[in-house]
Amino acid sequence: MAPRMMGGPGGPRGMGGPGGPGEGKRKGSRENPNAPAISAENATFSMKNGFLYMQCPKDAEPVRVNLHRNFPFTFLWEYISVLDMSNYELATIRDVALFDEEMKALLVRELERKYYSPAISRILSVKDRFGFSYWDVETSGGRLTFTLQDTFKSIVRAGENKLFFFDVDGNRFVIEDVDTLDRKSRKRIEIYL
Amino acid sequence: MTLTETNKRLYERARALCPTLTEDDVVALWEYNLDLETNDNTRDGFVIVDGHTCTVYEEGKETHAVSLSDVQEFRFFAGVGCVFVEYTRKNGESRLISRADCHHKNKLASAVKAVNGFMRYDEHAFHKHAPQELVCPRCGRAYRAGSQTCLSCFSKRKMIKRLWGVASPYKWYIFASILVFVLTSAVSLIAPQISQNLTDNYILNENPESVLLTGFLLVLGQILLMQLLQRAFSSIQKYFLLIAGNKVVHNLRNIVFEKIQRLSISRISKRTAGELMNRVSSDTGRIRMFVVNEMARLLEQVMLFIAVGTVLFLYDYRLALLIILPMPLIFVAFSLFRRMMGQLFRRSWERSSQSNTVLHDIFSGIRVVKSYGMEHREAKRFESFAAAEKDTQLKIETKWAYINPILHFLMGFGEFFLLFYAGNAILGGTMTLGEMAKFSTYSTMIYAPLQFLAGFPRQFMMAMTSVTKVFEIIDEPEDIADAKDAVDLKVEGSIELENVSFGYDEAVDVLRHINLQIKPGEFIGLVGKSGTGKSTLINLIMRMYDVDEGTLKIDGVDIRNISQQSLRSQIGVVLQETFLFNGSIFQNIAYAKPDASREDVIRAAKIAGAHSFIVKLTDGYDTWVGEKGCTLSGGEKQRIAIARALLHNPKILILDEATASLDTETEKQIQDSLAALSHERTTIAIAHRLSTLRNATRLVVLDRGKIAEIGTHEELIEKQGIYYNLVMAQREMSKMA
Repeated sequence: MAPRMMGGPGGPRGMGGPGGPGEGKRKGSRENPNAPAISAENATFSMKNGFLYMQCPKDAEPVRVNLHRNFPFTFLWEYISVLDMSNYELATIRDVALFDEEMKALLVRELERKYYSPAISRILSVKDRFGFSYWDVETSGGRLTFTLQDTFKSIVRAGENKLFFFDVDGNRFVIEDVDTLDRKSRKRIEIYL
Repeated sequence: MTLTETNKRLYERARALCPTLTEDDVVALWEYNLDLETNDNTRDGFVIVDGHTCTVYEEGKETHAVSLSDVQEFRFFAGVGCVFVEYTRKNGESRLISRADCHHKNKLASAVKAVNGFMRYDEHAFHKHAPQELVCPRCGRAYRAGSQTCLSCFSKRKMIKRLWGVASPYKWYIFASILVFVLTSAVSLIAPQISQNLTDNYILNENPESVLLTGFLLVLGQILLMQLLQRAFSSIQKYFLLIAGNKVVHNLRNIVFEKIQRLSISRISKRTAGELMNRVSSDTGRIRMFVVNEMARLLEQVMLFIAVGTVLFLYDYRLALLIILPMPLIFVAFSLFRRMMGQLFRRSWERSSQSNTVLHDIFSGIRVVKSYGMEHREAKRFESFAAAEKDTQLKIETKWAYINPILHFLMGFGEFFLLFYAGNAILGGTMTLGEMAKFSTYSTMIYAPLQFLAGFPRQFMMAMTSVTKVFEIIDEPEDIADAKDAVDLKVEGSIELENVSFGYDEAVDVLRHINLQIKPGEFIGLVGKSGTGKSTLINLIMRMYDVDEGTLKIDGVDIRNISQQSLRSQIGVVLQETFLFNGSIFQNIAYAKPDASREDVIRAAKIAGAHSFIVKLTDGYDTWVGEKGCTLSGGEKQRIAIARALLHNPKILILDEATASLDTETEKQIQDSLAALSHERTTIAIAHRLSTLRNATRLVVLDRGKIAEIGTHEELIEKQGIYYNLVMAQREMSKMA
């Protein structure tokens, strides 16, 4: 089957991260075509009070930043924008692997923290009622229940076997590879694929 | 004031963590469920904000506390799939204190708003800021977007009662149709009896000589009469039901449509145009189908089932039992079959809808497809969707081909038992062939309702869902209703905003603490970047929304005490996106004042700079515009909209980027015409092109929802602030151009 268009409901539109109230709407109003591509060579990151700070160049003052995936469905650790608090692009990261292990772990942790999407490992039950579907699943974040409105449109293919779920509250869940699910789970989701 | 269920629960939790806390101390309480640092753990986090301190607890232990006197502001913000709360100290230092999944979004946003409100105005808002629940408290299932009715928990009896309320004016039609049903059932039962008479006494009569031709003809006549009666009754039934169904739905449709018209923009915008159209047409249509078809068939089938069953049992209970024996099995089989096919049909519907979307996409963008030479790729894209649709359809057909014969075989089971029993009885001489034919007909008649009844619950639930959705709209509270003592005000044009704050949702205040006095006849230019709240401010002046805090007065009267009809009839508005209804240019301009004379319309068109292009059109003011009408350019449509706004000589004129799509020369011409009339009315204009506002008496610069600067063009240039920078940037741009 041809993959459905990516970018389903509850997509990243307007979700600016720690930019403060209303910041999301203004995002993109100022372009920075000269945002430097950074690596371990010219930048370093640190955490303070639960926030990420960047120093670029390394001897500069730390600036509070927010990481933003340019391709949140397909490239999780590549093509990352480093934005300031007004969502102005300060720098770009081509690949987090360009940083040393410690820094890379910090960046990965920050991205995972901002993009919260528990991975579904088993589908225990799906009930369809009045255009809603109620899902009981086992995930990397424990057993969860969630609700999808307009189920077919709330499940988005992000590759051959990768699926994203967008629930009514704006939560996201992911199945990395449908083929790795057990037979019962696959049977339960098959109807929606 | 009593606490909501959610706040009561939070308060009990807070008391367990902090026993000295009293209800009056509480400013806000919230829970969070994700670790602040990593994704590895979920957390049981709880935050208590009392009048002095914000204290964070994790797993029942205090992890952080900060005095409110040190805090500048609390902030709520969204990640992707999660939300955060932080605070900023007066020394500028920030700290993250909560992280939760989106299920907690509203609760956290509302709590943060309450804390900030307390810090600014010393206002305890724990009672007021009860976040809107997004799940049904009874079953825990999510409400649909913008809804507070749970489709799982609604009372079917209550809904039928309410539907009956709408249907009751037409009850005599419904009762008449029921009466005709009874007659139809009676005729259906008599028919096999006559057939038996024909078979036994005439066709199989061993002494043909004894058969009277008149008797034979009489029986044939009876059969003919029964056939005629059945057809006639069936037509009468349909007639009564169609009248009842259509009248009920016509009534319901009008109620829903009128209600939607009365709802505020904020309530309407929570639903899409498609959804509202569904409520008015599809849902009411489904109710009509249910009343006319399903209800009628239900009555018919149930009556038939009872009548045939009774006759069978009265005649021979053993035979009746044999016929009924396979019924439960068939009923279950039908139910399962319908469920399975229902899912497949839905999948097929989705597939077909996807193919249609792709087709629509390709045809709408055919110029792009052709200019990039992508015909082949698009053909392949469509092919893949069409193939998916074909596969699903094939699956349905295959399943149908397998299962349908099995179901029919099961249905034939009763007849098999009947043949076995009746064959023995005929051989034993206790039954005639005519009687067997009669029973065979009855057994067929008793199985037909089963097939219908197996599918009925689904049809019933679909109709009830539609009924619930329709009544949900009818029951929706009117949040911008006229006050009981609302006055019809003759507007002079003064507008006063006192400490006005407003946000479209709980999380974000779009306008914060706006104070502004506008005198009658003033021309106010609203300036600022996109998203700073300019359009929101004019929405409030038009009372499309009510302010969250503060007051907005027109001529010294609170806008909430002015009747909406009186207010809007004296406000003219031209928006950036104009909308022309299907109709002539004359009708479109006269929209706000249907009794306007030809002269009035032409005068308004001249001021708006529209007359010159209208007279060049072959059909002049009678030119048909709108979706299927003559294609006008953006600027031409805009000028018609300006004429529409000017026609009823409004006391307040609002121009939201009204002249942005016009060339500078036409814009100047319209501006000058407007300026000549501006002493008669208050004008509020939003424009990114600052030259548009050159006639403004005062300019109001908005930044991040607050008034940043206010003054004349010269004053603001001298101030060298935001406005100055905007002017300089535009000058640079025009130099480059």
